[in-house]
Amino acid sequence: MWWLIPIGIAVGLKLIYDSVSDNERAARRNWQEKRKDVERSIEEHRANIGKHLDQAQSSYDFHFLTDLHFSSHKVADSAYRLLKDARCSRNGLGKMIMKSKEQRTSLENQLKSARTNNRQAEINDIINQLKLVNDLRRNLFDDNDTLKSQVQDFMNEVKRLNAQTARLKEAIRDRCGQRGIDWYNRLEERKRLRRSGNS
Amino acid sequence: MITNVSLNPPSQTRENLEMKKHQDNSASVGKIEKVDSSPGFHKDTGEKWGPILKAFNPLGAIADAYAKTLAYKIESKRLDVELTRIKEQAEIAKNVIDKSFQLKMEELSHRRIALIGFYQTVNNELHRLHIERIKVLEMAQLAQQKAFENGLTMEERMLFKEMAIEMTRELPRFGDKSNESLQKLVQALPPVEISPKLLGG
Repeated sequence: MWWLIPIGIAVGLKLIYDSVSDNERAARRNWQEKRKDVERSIEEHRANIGKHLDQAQSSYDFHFLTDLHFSSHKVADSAYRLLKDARCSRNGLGKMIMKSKEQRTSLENQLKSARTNNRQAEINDIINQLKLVNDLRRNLFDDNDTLKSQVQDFMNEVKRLNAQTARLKEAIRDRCGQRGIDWYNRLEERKRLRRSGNS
Repeated sequence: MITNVSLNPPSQTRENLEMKKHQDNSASVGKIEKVDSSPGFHKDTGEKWGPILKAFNPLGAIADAYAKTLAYKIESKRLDVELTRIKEQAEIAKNVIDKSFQLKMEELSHRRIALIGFYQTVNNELHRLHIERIKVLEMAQLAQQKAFENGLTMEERMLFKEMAIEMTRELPRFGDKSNESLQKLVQALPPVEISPKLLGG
């Protein structure tokens, strides 16, 4: 019967080994589950942070670009006012040129009449006045040329600023999500109402 | 500027982390490195358990299984800590984004106030120039009219003409002055080149 002792020990060891193996498998399963949890958690946090950053970026873009649009719009307005001012000066100068032409014609008629009647003193006076009006006209034409180029410069600046403002408006629509699209639509609607109110 | 923040998978060893940092310095918020599927316990734990488990081999299969069970349990606890760390790191990343955002918004608000003030000043100057220009134009027209009125001496006519010429010469100068003011406004505008990323990156 003594030979049964080693068999008993072997069976006992086998049972202990099986139990330890079961524990090992359970611990491994637990570790694998945990590992998956960690992976999942990282993916979730990564997605959340990405979303959070996108929201912050979009919100910042919206405020930055709408501010810039507002400033750009204001500056374009000023440029337009300067253009109007320069045009107004040019119109005023144009009127002065027209007036000087009328004055010259009137003096020429007076000269003709004075010559017909041979009024020498009057002739000299009219000739002097004609010199005066011609000198004035030369100067007016010179200033008119300068103003003409100024008007052109202001017009170019207005066009450039308007293009910049339009570009910003489109950037707000395209880069700032739904908020940008809503802002763009409201702006366009206001413009449409203004136009229909003016017409 | 948003500070770069990244979450690294827990399986990476310190060495791997250092290597990764060198490889990709541009990793930023929202660009957390991809987590690979677990390739296996030893690889996942950086082979550190290999020699330890080997040390128990001579004691037999039961000791080996026992050692492995303990190793799994220790690693599981480490993963619990990792989970907490990841959560905290994510919170930090979100805080960094929020703080950077607030800071940027504050900057915008200050710039807006400064711009509006500056705009107002320049605009007042432009308005003054506008009024002056209109006045000068009216005076030039009056001087022209006076120069050819009846009953004036030639000298008086001459003076009125000279006045008219001087006045109209002022008109382009008003344009130049106004343009200077406008350019100040244009320069005060922030650069309008729209970069792909206005924040961070």
